[in-house]
Amino acid sequence: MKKMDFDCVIVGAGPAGLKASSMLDAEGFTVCLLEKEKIPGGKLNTWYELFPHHESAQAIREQMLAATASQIFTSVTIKSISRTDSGFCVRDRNEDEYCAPALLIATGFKPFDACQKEEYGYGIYENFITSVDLEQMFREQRLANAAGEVPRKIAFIHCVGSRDIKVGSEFCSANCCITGIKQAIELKKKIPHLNIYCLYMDLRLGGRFFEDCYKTSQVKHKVQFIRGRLSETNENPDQTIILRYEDTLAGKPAKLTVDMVVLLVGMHPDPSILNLLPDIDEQVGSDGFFGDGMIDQEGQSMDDGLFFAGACTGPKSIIQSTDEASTVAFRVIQYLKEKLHTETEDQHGKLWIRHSG
Amino acid sequence: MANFGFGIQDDLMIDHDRLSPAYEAVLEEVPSIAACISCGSCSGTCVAFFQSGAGFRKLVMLLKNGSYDQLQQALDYCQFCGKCSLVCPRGINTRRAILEMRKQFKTQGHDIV
Amino acid sequence: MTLFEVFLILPFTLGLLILLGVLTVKYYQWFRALNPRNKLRLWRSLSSKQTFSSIAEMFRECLLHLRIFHQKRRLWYMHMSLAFGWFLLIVVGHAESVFSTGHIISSPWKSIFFDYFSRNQEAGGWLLQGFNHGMDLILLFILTGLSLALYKRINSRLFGLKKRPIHSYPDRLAMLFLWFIFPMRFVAEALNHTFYGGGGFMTGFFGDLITLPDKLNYISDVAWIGYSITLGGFFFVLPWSRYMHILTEVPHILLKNAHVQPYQDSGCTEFSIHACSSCGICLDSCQMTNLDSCNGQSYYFIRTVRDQPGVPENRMMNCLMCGRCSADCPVQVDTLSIRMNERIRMNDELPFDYSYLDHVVKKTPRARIAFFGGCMTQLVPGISASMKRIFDFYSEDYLMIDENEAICCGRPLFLSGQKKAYFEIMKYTREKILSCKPDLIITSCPICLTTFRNHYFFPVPVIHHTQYLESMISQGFLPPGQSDTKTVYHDPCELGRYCGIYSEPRRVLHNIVELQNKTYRQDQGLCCGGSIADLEMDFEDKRSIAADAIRQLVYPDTRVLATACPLCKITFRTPNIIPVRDVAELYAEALKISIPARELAAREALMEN
Repeated sequence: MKKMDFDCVIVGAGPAGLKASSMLDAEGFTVCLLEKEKIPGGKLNTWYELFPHHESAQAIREQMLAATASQIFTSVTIKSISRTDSGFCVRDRNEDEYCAPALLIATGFKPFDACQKEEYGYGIYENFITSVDLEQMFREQRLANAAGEVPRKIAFIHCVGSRDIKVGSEFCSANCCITGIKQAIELKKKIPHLNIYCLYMDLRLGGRFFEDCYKTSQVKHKVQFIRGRLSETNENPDQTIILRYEDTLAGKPAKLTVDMVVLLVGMHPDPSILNLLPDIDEQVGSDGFFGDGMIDQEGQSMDDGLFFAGACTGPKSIIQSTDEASTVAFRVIQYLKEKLHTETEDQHGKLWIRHSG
Repeated sequence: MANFGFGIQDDLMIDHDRLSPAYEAVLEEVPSIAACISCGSCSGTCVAFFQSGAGFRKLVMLLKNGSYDQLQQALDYCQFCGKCSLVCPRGINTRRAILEMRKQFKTQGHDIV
Repeated sequence: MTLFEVFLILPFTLGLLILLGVLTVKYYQWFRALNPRNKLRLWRSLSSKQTFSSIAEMFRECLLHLRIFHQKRRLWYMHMSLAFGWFLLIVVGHAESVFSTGHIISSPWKSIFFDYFSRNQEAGGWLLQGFNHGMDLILLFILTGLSLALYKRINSRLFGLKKRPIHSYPDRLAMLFLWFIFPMRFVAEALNHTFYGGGGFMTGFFGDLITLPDKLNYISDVAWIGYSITLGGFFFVLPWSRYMHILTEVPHILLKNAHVQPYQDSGCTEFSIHACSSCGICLDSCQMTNLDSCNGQSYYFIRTVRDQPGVPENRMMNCLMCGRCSADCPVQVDTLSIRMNERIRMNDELPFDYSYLDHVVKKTPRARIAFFGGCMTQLVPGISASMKRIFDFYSEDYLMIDENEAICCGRPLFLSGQKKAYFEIMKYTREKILSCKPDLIITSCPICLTTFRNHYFFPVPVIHHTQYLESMISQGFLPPGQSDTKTVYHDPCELGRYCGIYSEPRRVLHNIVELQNKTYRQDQGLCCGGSIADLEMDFEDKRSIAADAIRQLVYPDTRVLATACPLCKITFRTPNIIPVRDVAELYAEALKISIPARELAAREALMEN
């Protein structure tokens, strides 16, 4: 039953939360990070290599953790968040309280639950996995199908849970196409004779060097790209999967038999934080993420001390999350300076005079 | 005036300069048909596509391009089961669109403008 | 008879004669238009004991409106008071005039205007006094109902109707006449008693209350003429308004009990659409009523069929054909058949070409059981995957007919009105199913089941997969033990209202999970909203119907929604509110042969949200 005071409480110790905290640290504010999992790092703990240059997720995670000096509380289950005169108080299951004038929500995203797309057979046929499952397999160095054999043919299905009105998310997750290509390249590096097919609707490769990845996958790794959205699947007696779709560029029905299917799942908003802060309902956009996507932010009132950063404001890559976290951290700094009438004396000395609001 | 050689073989080309009145007519009844992104899920699940080669995506394409003869033939194959509307990611009312197309061609016997 | 009396009875009598004339002509025409087969059915029914039960039903429904009584009490009182009250007024009024004059048969106006004609008679004995009070009581009864009807215009929710039906102008005119009849009668009688004394506890009381000089006694005569005009006016407008139902319900009941349906029978259709009382109860049952964009509900549809030659397409195609309206209809109008007629009339001539199906039907090996998943089976692979495992567990000799190529049963074509195309497809599908020479056909899709039962005429039994599972349970082939997952079962429209299968799925579920809605009213099930019979609604509308239905079905602690139809499963999982499982999947879990553990784990995770 402890009560702790900070300048800023950050909910979520993923890339955005860690980056924001390191920036706030550098300005001398006291920050704490509340993380619901056992270890910090957010989704960095689930990835193996990051696009576009195949950097190690583990290394980036270490780097980000080292850059911040804030206190990180793990295995925290938040029970309630209440507003006080001086800011916010977050209470967890053990009745510990974390209070601060500024609250930064960096809760990230939730991968789409592929069981919802029943026609894709995830959970019904053995050899279906998601991109998240595949990353796990990379980390465990265990690339085999359900029978334990090394696959010879794999299909990647794009746009699972994105751009799909039937699962309630019409937005594009923007990062699954490049994830698929990255994973295809990784697979080919590890299993050179593997045949890989990517079934896509459109290829959304907007980031820097993404197109290079695409070309590399085609030329160097001979990944085949087929334009046609997967419609139905079935299983052979030997548990290989038959895919049924239209090759739209040819305009003809097509079939493909593979050993495994990887579903590139989209990035969905994580609504669990909404239960704790019901009055921020109006800050949720029509797609379920926070914020309205407007460039003109002048009209936004920043008086109330509540900030959002990272994938919880929309599907983002790690670079985009950290960039946004930096921007939002700057706004938090401005806010705190105003609220606490803080002055810096000297950048080297880092003495602070604080008046409470 | 350049025509880029389009005058040589008319039936091999699609002339997007020409309007498709049947498409406009169907669009009025079923506005959602404009949201088609040609993903092909409808054809992939179509009961008739794998046997006859005509799925909803192709119908929309033929309708937009004004290929009415092929469209009329392809329309006859539809068994009206409704699976296309169940899988369409854009939520298009495909069966209504097919019914409209069937009615357009039964009553009007369209010609391109 | 004085000149004044002639003027008095003229509007009433003229109206009545015109009404009877028009009615005779119309009924005769409609009766002529019945199919010969249906005519035969009607004669057979009339000359059997059916007639007695039909007459009993006429009393129960036309007068007492018992079906409304079981649904909405206040509405029942309002309708019943008018119907039964007016009936009593006529019957008791006739008895009154018989006792008074001694003639059993007398002109109708003698009893309608009894108080006028008995003006100058002495006050009769206690019997006639009793009649006076009795008639007043009945009039009061009607007037209370009438005041409720007036109030209903302002606040229909009090009567259990979410939305008031919006009537057309001829109907409103007739309604206006009807509303004036009984107040006019009251006024005429009261004024009569003002000048001439007598009267019952109500009319006499008010009559005495008004004091007017005797020389104004023509006011009373004017009031009587007013009464006659409202009566005559009502009778005159009646054949062209919704009040045709008052009399048309009688032949409608006879036809209905003779099992004559309006389907493809224009005569029966005419009787049915005019028997509709426009009460608006169907608007309440219809799940589309909450959506602003829908105007195809039964009431509006039937009225359009009645009033104009062709039904606009969006109204005709805007219907889930779920059957809830017909189930709740107090008159039991078979709207579904009437709608099918219109759809067939509009769409039956559309072109089609299914010759490519020739090479779909191939020879297959023999099997005892032919399992037909339906065209949607590949979109819900869990169902057929579970049935496969169940069949393997019980070592059945089975063949999954549409495992490789999906083929449609044709019902969606039929429901859109393309009947010829439907019968063409039916030939191919039927051949394909029978090609393995089965002893039993099992299907997991109730839509296919309905059409198999209606038109396919298979030489072997066709059952739903829940019926098969139930037979396995009743033969003792289910290992004991049951999970305590709280489950709610949803009756698919096609399985419940169309095929009458309610108890088998429930019995199966009762043995394998904790079923929360064991008791139910048959035919009251909600529609999932995904119906293939509706062509107008867009995806958002259908999803909101599904979400509403789920919220009405589940309890706060329900973990799983169970259903027995692939289309319901697809539709219910779209709003992503609660996990949806088919009965077969739950049964496979109970046999511990279900789909892999990974899915269960993922689904548990989903349930947490």
